[in-house]
Amino acid sequence: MIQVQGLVKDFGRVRALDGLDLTVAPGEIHGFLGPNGAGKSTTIRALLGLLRTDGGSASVFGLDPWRDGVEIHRRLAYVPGDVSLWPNLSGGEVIDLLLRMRGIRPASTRRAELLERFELDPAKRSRTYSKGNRQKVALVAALADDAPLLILDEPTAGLDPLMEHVFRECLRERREGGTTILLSSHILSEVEAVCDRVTIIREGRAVERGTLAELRHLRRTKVRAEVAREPDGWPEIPGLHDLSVHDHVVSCTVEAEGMAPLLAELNRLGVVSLTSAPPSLEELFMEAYRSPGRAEGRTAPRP
Amino acid sequence: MTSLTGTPSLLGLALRRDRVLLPVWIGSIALLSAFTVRATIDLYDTQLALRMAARGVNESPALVAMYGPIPDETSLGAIAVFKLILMGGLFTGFLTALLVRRHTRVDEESGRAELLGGTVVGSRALLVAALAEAVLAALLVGLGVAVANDLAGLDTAGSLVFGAGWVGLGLVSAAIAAVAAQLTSSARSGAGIVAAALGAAFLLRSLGDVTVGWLSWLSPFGWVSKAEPYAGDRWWVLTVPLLVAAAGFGLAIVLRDHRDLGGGVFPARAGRPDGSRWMAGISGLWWRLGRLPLAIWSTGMVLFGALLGGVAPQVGDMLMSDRAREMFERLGGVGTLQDMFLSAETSIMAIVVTAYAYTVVTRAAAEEDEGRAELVLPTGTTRDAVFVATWAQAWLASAGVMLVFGLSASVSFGIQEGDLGGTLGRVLPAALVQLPALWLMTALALGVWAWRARLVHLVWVILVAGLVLGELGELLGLPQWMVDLAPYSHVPRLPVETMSWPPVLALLAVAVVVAGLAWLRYRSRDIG
Repeated sequence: MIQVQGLVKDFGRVRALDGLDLTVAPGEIHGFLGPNGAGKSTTIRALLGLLRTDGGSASVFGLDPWRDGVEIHRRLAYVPGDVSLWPNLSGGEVIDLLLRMRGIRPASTRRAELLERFELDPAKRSRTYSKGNRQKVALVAALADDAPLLILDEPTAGLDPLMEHVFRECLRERREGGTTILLSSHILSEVEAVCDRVTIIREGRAVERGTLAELRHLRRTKVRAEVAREPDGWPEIPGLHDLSVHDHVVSCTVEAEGMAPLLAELNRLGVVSLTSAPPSLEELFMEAYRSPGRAEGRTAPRP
Repeated sequence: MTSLTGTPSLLGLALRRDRVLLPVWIGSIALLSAFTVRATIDLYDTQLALRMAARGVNESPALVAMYGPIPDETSLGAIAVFKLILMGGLFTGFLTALLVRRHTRVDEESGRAELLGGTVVGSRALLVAALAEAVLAALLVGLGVAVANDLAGLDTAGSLVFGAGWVGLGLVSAAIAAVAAQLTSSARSGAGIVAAALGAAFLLRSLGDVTVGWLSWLSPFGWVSKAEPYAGDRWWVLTVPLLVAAAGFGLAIVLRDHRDLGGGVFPARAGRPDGSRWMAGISGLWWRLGRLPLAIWSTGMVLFGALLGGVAPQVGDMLMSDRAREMFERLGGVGTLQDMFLSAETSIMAIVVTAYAYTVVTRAAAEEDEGRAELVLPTGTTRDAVFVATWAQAWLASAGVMLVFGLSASVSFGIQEGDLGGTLGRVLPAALVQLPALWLMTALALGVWAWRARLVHLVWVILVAGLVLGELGELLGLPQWMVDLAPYSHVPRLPVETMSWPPVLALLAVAVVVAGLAWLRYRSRDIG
């Protein structure tokens, strides 16, 4: 659905995208994660053909966004990160305007239902809307019809938790309907809750990509065990770190490859209790953000 | 904490933000004044030449309507500054209005005022700091110009009166901007109110000086010329702008006390819950956004046209010596005098309406700068559609406004003359022949927008350049090719001159080429 390879974009002397790779498969919800200023919005603008890129290639629906932008636009709906509306138009007017611009008759859409679910008053002028309400206007306009591709740039930034819940429901419904969704975010719980696959970018490059399971696979699991016998020495276990043995309690972190030998060893020592915790996405995220050097070259194999 | 707490630091912030704008603007005005004065002194080296020139001005209704009369035909200073009263007044007025607007309503709209309001800042501080900056700027302009004229060789007392006249104009303009900023909650409509007020002030002075004298006394521009710098040096006249400005400042503060931050005195009404069928594409949106300004401009033009047509029959009563009347009668009667007046007024209107067309282009650019193009373009709206819709709106709306002005002036003139057909034939073509020049100016603005939306404010530099080159170019001794750069100088002066198609068609062709180049550029650049 979306194929990006080695994309480069310079703004004057600043390199915003530095060889970015991104693949979004049809029918998936793809999380696009990164810290502020990592290049998420720039990538999205390039995918929409609003920016001319300086290197690499991008295609959406197999088309070139710069040349065939309009053809692509006809098949997608987009919610910008910072929604700015016309101050003297009402929310309802904006929604209908955006739908009609896409060639859709507002009456034929789920507009009314969505207004109710998002608890949005369409008669208010945009000037009086809060950030969250402006966001809702753009979301209703984007979700009201069945565009095969949704591109959402930090769409929940101003929503309250209840509305966030409604939003996630809508996304799940759309996925069941076969819609492909690219969701940029820096909110981890959101990505963890709805996304099938994730690409993490930092300083204009993809530093991690894969399914959540795959990303976890690469990471150490925390293990804490109580054993019957005090160990007198440890065998060489690959991928074992942070080992500490204290008064019958063993705690460590372990990479996937070392899990089986570790369990065998614990078993030998007579395990009494065992807790293990998968790394949260938060930890993955922190690691990818903080240490680009270490994270590089550790991308998961593509499915 | 009083309502003024924090004013000094806000003033400091404003000065810091305007650290480039203020010196450049003030310096340019002072230099423009000094060069004009110097050129005039070099031009009229004998008393006789001076008196002939002054007489020529005072007997031309076109020149008097544009710039005001010369109060003393023997005063070198009065002749040197007679064009500067308008130019400098506009520059000073725009500067102070811009400063007030920029540091009050624009900041409120962008949310910056809220950021500041959350700190230890009194409720009036933002407004008072903006006014203080405007007063300071006006004083600096006045001082700069007085010193410049003094150094250029004019007498000190007159230079001070002249500088003080500009200060007065700057203060009045700041007061208008401050009140406008309280009335509406949108910075754009506030700017519209200021532009309309300055336009009305200019027209009242223009009409008053040529026809019914007391009208000039209603106009801030009139007050500067009534102070008669380098002639009567009537200081007392300048108490009028001072009092008016003080009243305006007071009114703005009272209005500020009665409204919320971000709100207007006129409350925002509820909108319609669904969109109109007509607003289905970029053109529909553009006209929907532009309909209120268009209605206001059209109404204004109907009024101005009616006023102009209404006083046209009296042109000359004020001006003419018997000798001049004889001369005009030999040339073709009083009708010629009226024609000169009409021709001058319509060419001024062309510049005023150019400013309106520029607001259409700057709005399209603001749409992009404020992030709404990002909402519109991904709906399948092409860049071609956005460009063409903007182009069409800028040209058609300005043409419509000129047409309304021409019709209204013709009708009101014709009713008094009892010859509607005749006046339609005289006035309407004079208004419409301006369009190609106006469109070329607009095409240049489209070019700036297409080049880079963020720099769209440069269009105002183009407008000022067109005005200065066309109006002051010859006096400043600029080479003819520079004067010719101003599109307005190529328009046949109907109904005084006869229609000449080649320059009009050439202007139109250049306008289309410039707009076409702008189109190509807009297709191929980054958006946002």
